[in-house]
Amino acid sequence: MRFRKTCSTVFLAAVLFGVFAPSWAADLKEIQARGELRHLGIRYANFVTGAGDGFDVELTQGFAKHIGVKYSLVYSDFYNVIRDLLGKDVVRKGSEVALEGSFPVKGDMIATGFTVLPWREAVLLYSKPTFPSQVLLVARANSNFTPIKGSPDLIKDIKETKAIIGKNSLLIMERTCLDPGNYGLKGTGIDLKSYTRSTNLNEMVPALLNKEAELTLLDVPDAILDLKKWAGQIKVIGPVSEHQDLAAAFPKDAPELRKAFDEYLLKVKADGTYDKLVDKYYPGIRRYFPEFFARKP
Amino acid sequence: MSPFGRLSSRWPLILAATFCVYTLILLWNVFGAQTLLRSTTDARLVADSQRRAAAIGDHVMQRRHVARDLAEGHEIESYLVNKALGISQQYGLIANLAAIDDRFRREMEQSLLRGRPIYTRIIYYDERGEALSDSSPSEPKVILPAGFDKEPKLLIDAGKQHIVVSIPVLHRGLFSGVVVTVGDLGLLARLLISSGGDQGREKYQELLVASEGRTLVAPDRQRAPGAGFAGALLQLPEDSLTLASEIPGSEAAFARSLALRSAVPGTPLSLVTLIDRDEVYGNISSGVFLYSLSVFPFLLLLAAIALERQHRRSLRLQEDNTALAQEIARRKELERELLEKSDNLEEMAIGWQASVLRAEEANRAKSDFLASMSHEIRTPMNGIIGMTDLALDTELTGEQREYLDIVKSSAEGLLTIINDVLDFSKIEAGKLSVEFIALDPAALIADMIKPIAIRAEEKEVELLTDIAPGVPQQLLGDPGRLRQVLINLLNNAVKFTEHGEILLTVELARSEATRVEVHFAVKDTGIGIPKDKLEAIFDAFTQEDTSTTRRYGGTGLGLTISNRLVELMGGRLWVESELGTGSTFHTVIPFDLAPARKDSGQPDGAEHPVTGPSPDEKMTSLRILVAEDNEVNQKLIDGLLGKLGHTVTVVRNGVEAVETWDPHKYDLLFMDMQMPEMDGFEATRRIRTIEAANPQRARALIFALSAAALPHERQRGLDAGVDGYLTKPINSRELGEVLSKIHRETRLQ
Repeated sequence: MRFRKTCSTVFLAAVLFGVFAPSWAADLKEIQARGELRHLGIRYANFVTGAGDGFDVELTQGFAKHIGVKYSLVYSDFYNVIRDLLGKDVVRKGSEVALEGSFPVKGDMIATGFTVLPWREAVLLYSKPTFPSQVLLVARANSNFTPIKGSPDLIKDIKETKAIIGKNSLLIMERTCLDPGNYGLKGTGIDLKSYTRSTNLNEMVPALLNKEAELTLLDVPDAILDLKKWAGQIKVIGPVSEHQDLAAAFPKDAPELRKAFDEYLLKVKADGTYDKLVDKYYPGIRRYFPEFFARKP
Repeated sequence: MSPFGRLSSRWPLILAATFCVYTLILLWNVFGAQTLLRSTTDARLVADSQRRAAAIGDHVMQRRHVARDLAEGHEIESYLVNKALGISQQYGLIANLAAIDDRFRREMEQSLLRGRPIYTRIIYYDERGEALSDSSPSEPKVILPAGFDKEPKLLIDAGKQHIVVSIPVLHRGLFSGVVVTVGDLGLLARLLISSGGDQGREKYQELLVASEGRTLVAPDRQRAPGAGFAGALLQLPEDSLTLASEIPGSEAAFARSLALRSAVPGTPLSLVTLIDRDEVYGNISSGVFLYSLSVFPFLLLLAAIALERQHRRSLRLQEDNTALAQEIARRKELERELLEKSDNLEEMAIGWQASVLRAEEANRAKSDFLASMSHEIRTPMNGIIGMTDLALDTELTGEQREYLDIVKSSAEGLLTIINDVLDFSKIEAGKLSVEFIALDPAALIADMIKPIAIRAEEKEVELLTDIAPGVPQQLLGDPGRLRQVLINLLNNAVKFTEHGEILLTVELARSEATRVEVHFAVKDTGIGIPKDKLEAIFDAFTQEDTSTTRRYGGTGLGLTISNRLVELMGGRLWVESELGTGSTFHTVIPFDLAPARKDSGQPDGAEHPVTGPSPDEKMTSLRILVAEDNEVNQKLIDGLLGKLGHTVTVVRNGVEAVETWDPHKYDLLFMDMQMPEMDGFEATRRIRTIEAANPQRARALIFALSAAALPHERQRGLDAGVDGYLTKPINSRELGEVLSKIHRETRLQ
């Protein structure tokens, strides 16, 4: 009898875990009650370096301190990071976005140079922008592609850049900011070659140099680093996107947490902490996006 | 005396010589040590300056290295590589530029000198001169020296206190821009060089001076030398100490400083150190001081030698003492004899002195005698001539009138002789003096020639005058003496000329700015003078011969007196004569020119005839008080004035004159100057004193009437307060003219 009662209790717990586990993403009060903020990060540029630091790592550590809890970094990747936050997988069907399945929630917020994209906004709450970005088209230096001259008209430059791609092979990474779907590059006859060996965007240029494709997409934060690192070996052809915002992402049911983060962001921009982090991890970015860093938070 | 004995007697000299040698050796050693110490100090200062200059040079060189590292760094290289690939600045190169910005920023943050940033600005200009990366974009563009695109340059911007280093950037052998670092020169001043001073006077001051001489860097620029002095400092020889006071344009604050210049390697700068000389050398004695000290042993030696000589001299003196004692005794004897002779001489001197006093007394008595003779003779002559004039004015028979004319003529002749004798006596006694008052030669001649012309006319001799046009009308001289000389010469001419003519010519012999010489010549057609007598005629009491005296009369004193008078006036008198044809007497007399008168009248004091009343002018009766002690003269003047229609009151002396004078009762006072009880001088002074005490009282018109005719006596009368001075014998015509003048002036008033 006792054995039966115990088995029933375990089963009920298992059923309850199966039902409620996906929605364990917590809001501010729960996190403060728990005493720990779990930061979902992807090794990407200098946002999350993989060495335990990075722009978003330090920013989120400050946020944890701000709300009075401990900080922990949970590594993820671009394919699974939303699932790790929401406990559900994101399925895109055209312009439709659906959450499916049930997975363990591993973190309370994403902060990893995470691009604000419309489809992501359908399932996530974004903070105020934490960083600017743009996606560029990059080729090997010895290729025949000629960089555009650049003009004040960004739309025209984007169109001119996309025209250069033609039918050539283009290295992309789906479900990331380098997803061709974000920029209307699917179904245009481009030979899209998805990089799948890892979800680390830092590996796009080495793959290009390894001639896995003739062209690749690259976001500005990476490009800033790679143009120094691979100077003389790669060349930027032109932009394929307009300016983008990167921001921290929260579950839809954690508005207080996002509000607290926005307040924290306002605070660190005011007291200079934010600027120090920018200069530390992206010292040249202000020159690239002067408008972003000039605007009021 | 043995050699040892001689030396032992000179022990102070030996001791002083030994001390002198010992001291000189000591000083020599000190001097050597001081010289070595000074040269060591100088070398240390120079080495220290060179070391600091090298440190500054190293610092500047380090800046070049940093600029070169930046120019050759991979940030700029990446930019240039990517640029060569054609990457647009907008979408690619901007990332490289951002990296360059970051590199520059880090360099500025990390390049520190004792915790202070070395650089104030780092710039990367492209090949067109546009700033691609600039740590201070708001600052104006840095102007670089020529050739910056080919080689590294160091620029010292004195105005902005900047040190600028430029390194050209080469990419694939082509000039692709320039990296420029800008640093603060003041940092060098604050950290690499230093100064120390107290209360405005620098003890230690280091400066960096540029090639143009301008002070660029000083720790305390307020107390740094001015541009002029800095320029002079730059001309100092390198690594050599110089006294700042010897440098042109030296400033007072550094007058006691030493200056040292060391070139800063690899730069156009010089490090100049100004350091207080006392701080450098401290207790190191100056050469002058040591030289001065070395004098003292010699002085001591000289003193010892002098002492030794003094000692030897005293010995010699002792030996000579005996001989001297004998000599003194002999000289005492001589002295006694001299004293006796001296007493005799004193007695003789006293006798001589008494003789001199007697001689002087006799001379004074002679002078007094002359004066009283002049007075005493003139007084009776005054009576004789005056009374004769009065008698001649009365009704007389022809015979009486002839007798009286003879009396008058004889009296006048006698008076002339007396005057000549008195004048000669005065000349001999040195009592005769000449005046310097204004005179007009032409007027004087016109006045005095009339009576002579009358006498000449009586002898049917024509008397002519010829005054040359150039003879001045206003001269300074003695008109009385000139008149006397000319009258004498003319009278002689008339006297010795029986027929023919006498010509008086006056001409200018010499003319200067303020002085002239006038030549008077009296030429006659008389008997002439033998040549052998020409020399003697100017001697006293000499005429051509005694027969001449008998024939023509006269004392023979006339020419002698004239000659002496001319000499007294500074002139000369001579004669040219031919026997039987005639004589010419010349005299040349110097005169000062009188100041020109503004009015057209006679010169001041010029003697001129007093004009008598005009025919239609009728003189009214004057009330005249006469002070005269001599009864003859009393009667004479009473008669003369009464005859002229005036009322006369006579008193006998000065006391009565003062008591009797009343301006309401009398118009005029004639005052004899020599009277008993109170003379005319004192009486005149008293009347003037009374008038001064009573300003309302009318001023008395006082005329002296005196036999004292000498100039100083006339002046004495004027000083006493008389208004005019008439001399006796009284000339009725002169008296009438004076009264006419008084009458006109009183009537005008």
